[in-house]
Amino acid sequence: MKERYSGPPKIFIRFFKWFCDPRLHKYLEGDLFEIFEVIKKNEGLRRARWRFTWEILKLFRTGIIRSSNNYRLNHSSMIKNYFKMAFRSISKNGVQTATNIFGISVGVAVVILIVQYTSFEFSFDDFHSKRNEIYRVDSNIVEADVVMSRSKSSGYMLGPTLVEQVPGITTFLRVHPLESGAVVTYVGQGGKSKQQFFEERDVIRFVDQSFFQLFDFKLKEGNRSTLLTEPNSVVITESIQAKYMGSIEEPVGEFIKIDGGRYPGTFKVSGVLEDLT
Amino acid sequence: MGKYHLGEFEEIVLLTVGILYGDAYGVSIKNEIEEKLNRKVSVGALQSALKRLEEKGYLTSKEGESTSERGGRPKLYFTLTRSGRDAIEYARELRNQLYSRIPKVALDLKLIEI
Repeated sequence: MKERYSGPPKIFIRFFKWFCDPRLHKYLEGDLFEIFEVIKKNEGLRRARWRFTWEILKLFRTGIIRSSNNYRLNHSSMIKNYFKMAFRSISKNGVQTATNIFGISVGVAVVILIVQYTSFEFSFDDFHSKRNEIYRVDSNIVEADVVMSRSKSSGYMLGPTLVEQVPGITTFLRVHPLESGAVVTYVGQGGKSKQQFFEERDVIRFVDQSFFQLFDFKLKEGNRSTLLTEPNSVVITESIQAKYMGSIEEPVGEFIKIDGGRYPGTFKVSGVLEDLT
Repeated sequence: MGKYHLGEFEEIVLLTVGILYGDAYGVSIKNEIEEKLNRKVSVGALQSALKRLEEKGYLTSKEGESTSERGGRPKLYFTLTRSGRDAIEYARELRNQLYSRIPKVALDLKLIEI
């Protein structure tokens, strides 16, 4: 038969080896074993084991527990030194520091402005597939070789003339905003349904047929190839449809009347666009 | 506290290492303190004190022989250094100085009270 194990509890020997600083471990373990043997002789195994366990638990403290990294470097004092040096040189060279801080503030502010501006400019209208081929033609009013003013508009005949005479220009699109505003009335198909009218400002544009060849606004109702092909037809957005007609089954073919502006009349709805989000 | 700073327990450990001259290692220091001063000493507390004293330069340690009752583990022997001795002497002198400045009357009164 095997002799029964009569040493200290093995699991705590292992536990101690695990947490103890390896430089101290062998001496401390020796001390613990020696104490264990003495108590075992005087007071018995049970008591010795209990005291052994208790001592190990009390050894679980800073200074004896091993550090997780034996090559710990003292970064904090280096960084403290940086701050100290910075503070000293700041207080020594007042004017220079003020100039530096002013300069970097202006620089950072300008960078933020530039980033904001450009990111805004790139943030919209980027779903049009032909966006790299579309240009707006502006005009400069020049008097005696001096640009007197700049304008986003130009004459009606510029578009057709450019397509005719300049190679590389394939299509033109003229957009005429109804800046003065107009009263818009929903007259229904036969002009008999309940009339809804509102004053509209700055939402009405007269455009050439090529509008939907150039731009990819998403269509909700209607056929893309027949939008704006007939004279006196109009394309409206979802929210305008909801405003005038409510939730109507078949908005295409309905009529709205525009009173005011340069070209008043009754227009046939040929399509409904999705609202831009 | 001046040049030398010693805690109460540190001072006892330092003195005991001096007493056990040449035979001061963990268990013997612990036994000595427990016997002579009649107080419990845990291995952990003693180890921390020894480590602190060694860091302050009052003690040096040396690996000794290993015996079978220690599971084959070596002993770590401690000896006083020069500055350790100075620290003990400084502490003692400080106490004596303070003691000598207590007026006799105060001590007499205390005796009567008991």
